[in-house]
Amino acid sequence: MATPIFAVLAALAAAALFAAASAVGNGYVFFAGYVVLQYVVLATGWNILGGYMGYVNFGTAGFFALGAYCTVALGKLAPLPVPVFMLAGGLVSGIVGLLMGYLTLRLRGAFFAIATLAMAVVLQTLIVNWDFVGGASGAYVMRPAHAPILGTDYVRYLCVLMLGLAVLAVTLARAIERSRIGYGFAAIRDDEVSAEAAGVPTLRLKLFGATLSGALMGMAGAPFPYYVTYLDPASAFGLGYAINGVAMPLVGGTAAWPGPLIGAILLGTLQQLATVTISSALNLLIVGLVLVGFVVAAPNGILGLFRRRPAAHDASRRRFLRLRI
Amino acid sequence: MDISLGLLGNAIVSGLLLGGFYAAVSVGVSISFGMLDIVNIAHPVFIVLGSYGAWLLGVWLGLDPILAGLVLTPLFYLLGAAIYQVYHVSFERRGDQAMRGIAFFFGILFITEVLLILAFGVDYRSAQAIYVGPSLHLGGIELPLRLLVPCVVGLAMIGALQLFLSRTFLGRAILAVAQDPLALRLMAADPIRIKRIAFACSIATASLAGAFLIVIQPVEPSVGREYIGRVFAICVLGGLGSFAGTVIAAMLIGVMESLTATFYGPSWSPAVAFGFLLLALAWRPAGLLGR
Amino acid sequence: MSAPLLEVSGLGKRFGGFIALEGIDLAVAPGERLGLIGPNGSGKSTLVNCISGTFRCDLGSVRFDGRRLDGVPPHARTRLGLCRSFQLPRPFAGLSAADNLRVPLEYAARQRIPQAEIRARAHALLEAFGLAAKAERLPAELTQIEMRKLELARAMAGQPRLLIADESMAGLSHTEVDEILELLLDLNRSGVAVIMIEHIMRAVMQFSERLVVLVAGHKIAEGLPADVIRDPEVERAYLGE
Repeated sequence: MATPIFAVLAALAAAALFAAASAVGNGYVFFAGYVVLQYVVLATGWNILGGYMGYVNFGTAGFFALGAYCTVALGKLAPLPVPVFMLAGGLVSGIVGLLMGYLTLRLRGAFFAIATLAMAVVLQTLIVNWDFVGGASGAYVMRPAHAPILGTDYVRYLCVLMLGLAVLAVTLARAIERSRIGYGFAAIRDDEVSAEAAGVPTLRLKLFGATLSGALMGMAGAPFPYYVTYLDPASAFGLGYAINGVAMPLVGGTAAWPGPLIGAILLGTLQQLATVTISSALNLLIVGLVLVGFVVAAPNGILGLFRRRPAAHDASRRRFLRLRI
Repeated sequence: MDISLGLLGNAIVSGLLLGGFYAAVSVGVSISFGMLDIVNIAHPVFIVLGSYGAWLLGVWLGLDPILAGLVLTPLFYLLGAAIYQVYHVSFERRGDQAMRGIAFFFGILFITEVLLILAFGVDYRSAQAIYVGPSLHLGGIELPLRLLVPCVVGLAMIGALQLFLSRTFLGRAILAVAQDPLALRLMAADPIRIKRIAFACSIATASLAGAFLIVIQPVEPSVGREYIGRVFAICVLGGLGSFAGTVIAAMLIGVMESLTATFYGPSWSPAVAFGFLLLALAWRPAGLLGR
Repeated sequence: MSAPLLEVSGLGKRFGGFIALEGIDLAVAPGERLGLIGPNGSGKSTLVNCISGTFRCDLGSVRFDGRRLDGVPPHARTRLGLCRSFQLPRPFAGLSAADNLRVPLEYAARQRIPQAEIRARAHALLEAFGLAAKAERLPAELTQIEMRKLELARAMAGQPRLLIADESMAGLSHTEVDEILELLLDLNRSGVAVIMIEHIMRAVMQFSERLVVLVAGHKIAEGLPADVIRDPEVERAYLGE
């Protein structure tokens, strides 16, 4: 299926989803739905670097918060429409992803993962000490009563934006998977030295992956201040984002684009239910248990459970099988 | 001028004492990551577990925290052995699954932290001991006992570990397995058992290190997170697996943090270790082959 | 004597205090078949890594087609036509055999091959190596010799002008060695220079036009194969006392 067709189908599916949610009549669906959609983008963005290329990023929270704080900072200068903030957040996060990539992508495996964690803390410290955006005490953001264009309530509008971003992220991920770049990513994931010898410009591709991954995660964070109306470093940099960023793709399956989608929807919904019914502290316990459980027992995630034997035909599906993160 | 020098002197001394403590905190990772190649990023949360253990024994039995830490060490040893078994069966045996191993410990980190929150709540806990409070005064330099005692005991612990590794058969087997598991097997020693013992030792250090922690500062469940970067920064800077290097790197980071906190404010100190780590990794990409 | 395709001058490489290579001079003419032999640990693989760019050489230089390769990363060298295979096959474990060839076809070719052609080329290459039946299988499902053939096929997919075949025959049976030998000779007939690094003397003697001997990081002999193996120093150092 060619990419443009897929994009149209995905957009239609998203529109149908939105219509169904509106029909439910309970506004809470949009509050919860926004969070799940946000995780779809985060997980998909993470997976480009983590699943396709094998570089596990523990600093998801850093990029997410960067996008959010970009909105806060720019918002103080000029009240721009949220889509513009999303682009700005994506740009800034993309550049930071590039820089971080340049510093750390020459490291292998474990060192890269630790470096991403370090980067997130450095970013957090910088934000905590930056009074313009409220420092440690945080910043309040006024959420407009009505959405532009649509005229509905604002959270519904944010959901539409996030749906659009999710469609973009998934389409992009799928397009990469099947492209020349996707093969390069897979080669790097499987054996970087061998990839170099096969002519793959590994550094260039790694930087591209880091930039794209960072940009998507930043765009996911950009509307966040309008969703929560009060943003402080503790919540923006919450390690919940770091663990979900890792757990959702791992649980869903990192080999292809449906994996992070499934993982985000599953774990995201689970956590929303847990927050409402039990407690929010148990959220992280659940995610931690699920992550450990899957990592130990089902290494290829949910995707891997369905595609255990090689199909006789389609060669591109071969990559669902062996997972080496 | 005088005040500045005094301030500087105190900052450096505190930094060195803090460094001794940081070394005790990092030595466990020096073993698990430096010698066994196991990326146990959950190590700091075990230290926090150790803190709560020491606190509990203090509340129940009135035990001195460091004594409590010693008492609980065998328990932590067993915990470490159990975790290694799970890790080995799930990951090491399946081959190149390093990243999934990291995700495993990441999950353990969160699970443990949340269990601590559920058990103890998010309030800060402190320990009571005769050396929390008073300081030694040596020629204008203040040596707070709550920093001095953990530093000294911590360095003693590291010294004892070093002796164990270099003088006993088991210790040398651990050093050997770090370098060449196959040769070890040919010498009729079981590498898996040796690695399990080594990993158990690394977690055992968390008991005492946790006691040090709660002596030095109040503890709540998420306090471990700021130590993840510190600990790995220290291990990487110090040269993986070298205790002497770990101590020196720890002192360096301790002094840098202390100076930053004194002259720029404590809200900047978390970035120091992490910043160092990023720079160190950018300059010495350990793990690449002779580039 | 035409200009050499590959020219190594005064190459030196050390790891800490250990000198792996010292003062290596080597030249390979276009289309030539060079054999490189030496005991284990003599620095053969290090030399390959230095030539291919995986290692940075400390002293000396490597020239390909007249231009110096200082600071040129391995992937760029592959694109120039300097390809190598690995001693221990390093396939892309998550990709099928056909996809394993796709990667170098997409990236290593000097001119971009249109997408539609790539699949066809990959299959053609697999055919030539007798691997067509295993096109959609993962490398883990291949036999020893099939893995080595895949390894060579990957190196050849890059349209090399010079191929360094690093111990591609290790551990293979007599007939399997002949198979690989034939494939390399075929490649050479199409104009590709080949440096064969081997321990299997029969293959090296049959294949090489010229022979170079490396011992403990130094080149101790070079010349016609028949002459080189009669050199007493070579006999002593390599062929055994």
